[in-house]
Order: sequence, then structure tokens, then C-alpha cells
Amino acid sequence: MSSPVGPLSRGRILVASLLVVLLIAPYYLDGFWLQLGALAMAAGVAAIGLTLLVGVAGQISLAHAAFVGLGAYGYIVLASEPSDLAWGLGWPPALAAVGGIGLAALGGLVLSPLSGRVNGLYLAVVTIGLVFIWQHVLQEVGGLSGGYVGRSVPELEIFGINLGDTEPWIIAQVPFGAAEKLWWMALLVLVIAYVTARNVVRGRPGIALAMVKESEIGASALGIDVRRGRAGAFFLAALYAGAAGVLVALATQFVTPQGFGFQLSTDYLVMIIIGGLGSVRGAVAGAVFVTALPRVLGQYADQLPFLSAVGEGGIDANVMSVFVYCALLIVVIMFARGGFDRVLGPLVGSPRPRMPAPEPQPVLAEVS
Amino acid sequence: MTEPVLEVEGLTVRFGGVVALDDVSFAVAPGRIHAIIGPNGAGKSTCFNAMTGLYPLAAGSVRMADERLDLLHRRRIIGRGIARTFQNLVLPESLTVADVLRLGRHHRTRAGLLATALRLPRARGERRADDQIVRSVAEILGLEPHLADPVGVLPYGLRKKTEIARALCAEPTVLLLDEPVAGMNDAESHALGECIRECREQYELTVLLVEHDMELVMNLSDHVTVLQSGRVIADASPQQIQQDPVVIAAYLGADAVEMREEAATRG
Amino acid sequence: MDSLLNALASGLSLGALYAVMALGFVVIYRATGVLNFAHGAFLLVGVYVASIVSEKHGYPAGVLAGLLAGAVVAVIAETVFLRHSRTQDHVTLTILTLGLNLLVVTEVSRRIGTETLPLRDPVGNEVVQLGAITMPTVRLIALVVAMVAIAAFLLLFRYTNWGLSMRVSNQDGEVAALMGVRLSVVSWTSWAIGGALAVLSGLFLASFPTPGVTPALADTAFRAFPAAVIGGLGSVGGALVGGVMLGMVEAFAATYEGSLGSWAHNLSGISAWVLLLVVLLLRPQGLFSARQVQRV
Repeated sequence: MSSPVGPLSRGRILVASLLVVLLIAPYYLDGFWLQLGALAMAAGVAAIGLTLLVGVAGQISLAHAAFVGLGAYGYIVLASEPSDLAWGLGWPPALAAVGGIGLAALGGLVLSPLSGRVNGLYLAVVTIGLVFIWQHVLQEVGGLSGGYVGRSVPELEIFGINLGDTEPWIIAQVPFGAAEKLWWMALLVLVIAYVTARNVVRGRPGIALAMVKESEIGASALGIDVRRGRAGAFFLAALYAGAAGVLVALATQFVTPQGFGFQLSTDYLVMIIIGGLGSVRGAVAGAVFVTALPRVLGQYADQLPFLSAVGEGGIDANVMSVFVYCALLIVVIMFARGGFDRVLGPLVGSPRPRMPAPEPQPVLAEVS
Repeated sequence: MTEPVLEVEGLTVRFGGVVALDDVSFAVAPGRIHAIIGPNGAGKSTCFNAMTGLYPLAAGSVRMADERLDLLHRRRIIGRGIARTFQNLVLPESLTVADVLRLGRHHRTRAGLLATALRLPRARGERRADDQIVRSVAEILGLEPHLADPVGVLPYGLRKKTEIARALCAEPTVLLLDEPVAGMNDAESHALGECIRECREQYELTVLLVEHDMELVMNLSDHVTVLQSGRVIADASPQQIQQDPVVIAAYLGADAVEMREEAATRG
Repeated sequence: MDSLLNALASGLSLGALYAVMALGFVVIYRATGVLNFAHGAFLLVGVYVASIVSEKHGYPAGVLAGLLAGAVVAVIAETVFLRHSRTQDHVTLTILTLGLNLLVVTEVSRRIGTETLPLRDPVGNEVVQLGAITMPTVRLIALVVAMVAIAAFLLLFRYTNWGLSMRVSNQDGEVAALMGVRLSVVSWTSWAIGGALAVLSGLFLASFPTPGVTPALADTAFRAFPAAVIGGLGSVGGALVGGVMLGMVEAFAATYEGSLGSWAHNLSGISAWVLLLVVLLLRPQGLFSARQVQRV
């Protein structure tokens, strides 16, 4: 059921304006902001997948970075030309991108029977193991990752339209290179991810998952196949992660193993919590915030008196960012504030129902 | 009696060394409102849970039209036409009432991830059909004004109704209600009782309910089975149950089986 | 044969340390029902404080200060943050500990910087010979201390009121409350013990293989997770067994990975997790947990 308000509601105008702004932004923005934007949007796609898994289906997963990595490295390996130093299959880039996403999704499917056998908290620990094993594989298998040095990312080309720097598009006498094209590509993928995720959350699978999270027994009594539901959630999360991975690879143009490990998984969890667990638009907002903050702070560090430069031992941009979003995370959880979604809700006026703060229930009762 | 719609035979459930249900047998006639009552700890909810596949049976069977329900996986029960509510109410707080009711339609629909994500015609068609059923059930239970509210904000009485409405949306032939009026005052219980009767007429249901509220049971049910300590001590019409000394004693604390045996030796 | 014996000795010592760490982890789990992602933070804070204090006041003072610091941080985490959180479901609380961990580890790492802080333990690089086995003295001491700590814990667990409360609680707050157990006290003392145990194992882990305090130490606390889960989360005995198994597998992997081929390089780093996957595949509930029947 869609929003009860009419087609020209304030919310829709806001969203439409935002989209227009995002569409014409590349005309005005420089390289730093273009890359940041692409990375933020890619993170948004990944965060959407994770909030489906953690927020809607109620599973803790710390392996998300591994699926993002599968997408990224899948694309790179499939699209790179074979060489002595690193694996490559030389596929057409568009196919490689699909292949990378497919690999990630496959990974998600592999994880799902495990989720059927092993209960929630144990599964969380298993996912930690998976991301550490993945990190290990990336670091040790030089052919895959190029070792500590890393490897470069092949340009994307879809149906002969080059999305790299080799053939810039000229629009209104301004050349648009890889950074701009990638911005639009990321925007397109984000919009698709957003709409499809929203449909799933509000539709039959989404409410079924919400029921599974509430009570597996209750869900079974309604005919819901709990195992398949969970498997589907893992699959979907991994699918989105894979797409994000391809985008991340294209945005950074050079990847190293350190970028796809436990730290990244933690970042994604932070994004979805401060965005509001289970909220698709909150996930995007959280992703933008967590991605942008350290980079923006770093960019303007010399103009900000309370920040020192990176590596000097003082509070630099990265450390400050961690403080800020950890503080937000703690506040959101402790005061059950619903994250960014709570703010976005009234703003965009969407039908996401407003929840009262839950009754504070002590974990352990006080008995004297 | 005509062919029973649901038949329980020799149902025995054990938890470790404790025998929760001991050789419980009864039959539910179609179109009836059949109540299971008994003092606390009698095993009423255990009986429900055993019938719907939540507990493994140590012995016995649950039959519906020649099919053994106890051999099925518990998520197949609803597909056979048996929908149930839970005493503890399993309602995801953040969903709207409408969404919760749509959950009842889950087993009747098939749209999967792909169809829903892309809003394919099949998914949209199912959604439209579901919404009609949701609306009509909501109307009967007086939930219509609350369809867009998140379940979490509703008062207890309305949440109970939502739980029941969800079961009705599944279009069952048998409705299992687990303490439907628990926590309600007299007026609310009475209203809900009427509602249940109306639903039975409207949807041609058979209703099996577990209850503590004697007034509701006596007014509402066509047949009553009484449990004590996991055993059936009486199985008759409400009027007969009301006058059965064994039942009365059970509620006052005496052991019904002992009493029966004593009565038998005496007279 | 020599290398086998050495691997065994090494594994036992390492296993004992992991057992101690897993024990702390399980104690916290039994008290609050969360996976304590902040275990690494407790460890790092304790070891860091130990290093700082030992500079001016010697090693023993440093150790005491470190243990105390770890315990205090753990208690603060529980009493200030977890207990007062309005969202109380285990998933969210677990993520809260993750956030706390990130915060604390980031700050402490910043202070440690890129150097390796010394711990100034009196044993240093000495080596001891036990028959055919050659092992660093530190490892032997670690084994002994760990066994003492575990024994002390088990005694507390079995014979004190606290232990009784712990055994009863097992995250079923209602049962415990009905029995008049002061759950708030059980709660913070459990976290204090958990934190102290984390620091205890951390102090030895910081002495070998590479001596000194680096931010990477916080990551070793993650080994507590598979150790506890392998044994069956919530089982004290399971944590001990899991820890020892982990230590053994890791020590053997470290000893023999060189001869297994290039793919096995640094296998010991992830041996813990591989072991976890194997065990859970065979026995999804862990080695010592019973499958539970859900009651509605």
C-alpha cells in the first residue's frame, strides 16, 4: 500500500528535487566530491542489503565486507587481462560486473544452509570467522588480490559505452570522464537497490521475515518456511553487497586487501544502526554519513583547529569520525531513537509508521 | 455425530520425565465451537501446541479427514486449513495491523523475492486480492480504523483481535484460539464472544478454543472437553459439564480420577 | 618428534590462555546474554595500563593496575551502557558492545601509536628445558598462571554464592529473580571478572610470540569467540575445552604450516575459525550444549 498522501506531497517533491540535484551535480563537482559521492552511494547499496538482513530478518552478520569484496574482486579477476602476477579471465567488463555480483550472491546462498542449522548468535560468530578467513585468503593469495600491493581495476564498458576515462562524454561542451560517469552509474544502481528493497520490505517476503524475527514458531504456524526465508535474506544481502563491491572497485580504481575486512563490516553495521535498523532510507543516510565524515574531515583537516594530521598521534580525521559515529551509535541504541530514519520520516512524510519508544525493560530484574 | 473434522486420539506428550498429556482423546464436530478447559497446569495449551506440531508426540495421533497431522512439519498445518492464535500474541511490533493481517495470507500466495522486488503483475495481483480479504476481516472484527497503525501502539484488546484476524485471513476451516479473552474485562469478553460466533457463521468455521473464562465457555461453546493433569476427565455439553461433580471437584482441587474411581466402587 | 612435543607444549600453554579468555567471555554471556565484542577493548586497556604503570612502578604493580583497569572498563560498559539501554534485545546489545569496542580500541590505539610499548616482564626471552621440550619460560609461566586462574574460578563458581547465582542465572533472569538472587550484583561482578580474565590472558599474549603492546592485541581477543562457541556458548567447561582445542590447533598449524605448502602460509592465523566451522558443521550446538526445546 502506498502513501496515503497525494502524488504531489511534500515528501515526493523533496525526493524528486534531491534526484534532480544528484543528476546535475557532476557538472559542478570536482574529483574529490565525485569519488566521495560514488563511494557513499556504493556504501548505501551495501547498507541496504545489510539492513534487510539484520534489521528485517534479525540476523547478525559480520561477513558483509566479504560479500562486498567478492563482488569487487570477482569483477576485477573476471575483467582483467591474464598476466603472470595476477589472475584474470579477460571477460568483457559488463559481463564481469554481472559475474562479480553473481559470485557474491552465490556466496550468500552458500551461507544460508548454515544459517538454517546454526542459531543466531552462533551464526554471528561464524560470520566473523568468514570475514577473517576471507581477509586471510585475500592477503595470502597474490594472484587474487595482488598481495599487499593491491591491484588495479579494469574500466567498465557496457554495450560498447565506455565508462572509464578513455572516451569522455561531451555534454554542453564539458567533458565528463570516469568520475562523472561512475557517479551516474552509482546513482542508478542505488535507486534500483532502494526501490527493490523497499518493495521487498513492504511486500510479502518482508513481512514474512519480520514475523520470523519475532517468532519462528509463530512464523511456522503461518506457513512461513523459516529456513528459506533466512536463506533468501542472506542471498539478497549478498547480492546488494556484490553490486556495491563492483561500484567500490570502480570508484577507487585500485584495491588492496585491507579495504575489505572486519573493519568494513563493522562500518556497515554502524551505518545501519545510526540510520535506523530495518529502514532502507535510513541505511542510505547512515551510509552517506559514515562514508563522508572521515573523508570530508580529512580534506578540511588543516582548516579545522581541533584536528591534527593523520599519523601525528593526535586526534585526526579518522579518529574523530570514529568518535562521532560511535557516539551516535551508542545514543541511538541506548535511547532507542530510531536513528536517521526518525528524522527523515517527518521530513519526507512517508508511510513508515512511527513507533513509540519501547517500554524500558530491565534485562535482569532487581530483587533485594 | 457426523464425521468429526478433527480427531485427537491417545495424545501423549512428555517433557523429560514429566507427562504433560496422558492419552488425551476427543473429537471436534464440524461447525461447532468446542472448548478445552481445565484447572491451571492441566495441559490445555500443551494440547494445542501438540496438535499443531510444536511438540513431538510420545504417542497418539491427530487426524483431519483421514490425514495424520502429527506426521506433518508444523508449517504445513496451516495449509490443511488449521489456523491458530497464540496466548502470548506473536505480533511484530513494527508492522501495521494491515501487514499483520496480510501475514495470514502468506500460505495462500506465492510471490517470491524477485516478483516482489520488481513488483511484477503476479505480486501486484496477489496483493490486491489479499487487501480485499484483509479489509473484510478487519471490518468484521472492528479493526478497520486501525489498519494503518503499527501494532505496537494498540491497546491489548485490539492486539488480541489482530491476532485472531490474522488467523481468519488464512481462510481456515478450523480456528484454534488460545485463551482469546485472557486479560479482558467482562464487556470485552462478551463482545469478543459474540464476534467469534459471528465469525463462525460468516466463515463456516469450526472453532476450538482453550479458555479459563467459564462464563464465556458456557455461553459460547457447543461442546466442552475438560482436562486435569494432562488427562481428559470429562467430554460433554456445557450443561452436563457444569453439573458434573468430578469437574467441579477438579476445579476445587481434588483429583478427578480418584473421585471417579471412588464413585464407581461406592455405587 | 621434538617438534611434536614442542608443539604440544606450546599448544597447551596457548590453549590455557585462550581458555582463560573464553572463560571471561562466557561469564559475560551468562550474565547478560550478549556476545561481548568489547572483550578486545578490555584486553587492550588492561595491557596498556599495565605497560604505563610498570614503567614507573615495576611489573607487579603494572599487572595489578592492568587487571583492575580491565575490570573497571568492563564494569562501566555494563552498568553505564548496557544496563540502561532502552533497547534490550540481544542483537542490538551485541552491536552496542561492538560500538564500545571500536570507540575504546580507537582511542587506545591512538595513544599507543606505531611503537610497541614494552611490558617489562622480568622473564623476557629466557628459555626453559623440560626433558625433550624447549619452551620460552614465559609460556610455562603462562600455563601455570592460567591453570591457577581457572582453578580459582571453578572454586568460586562451585562454592560461593556468586557462583551459585551465576549457575542459576544462565540468562534466565526470571528464574533467578524468583530465587531472590541479586541480579544486578551478579551482572557487574561477572563483567568485572570477564574483563580481568581478558587482561590476564592478554598480558601473556603480549609477552609472546612478539613481546610488547600493539593495537593488534585487541584482535586476539576475538579468538575467545570461536573457543566459547566450540564448547557450546554458555558452558563453562565448554569454554575451557574450546580454548585448549583452539590453542592446540593453532600451535600445530604454526609448527607445521611451513611444510604444508605455500597455501598454508600463516594458516595459524585463521586456524581458530576453520576449527569453528568444522565443529559447528558436525555439531551445530557446540560440543557441550544441549539442543533446547522451545516452549510457547
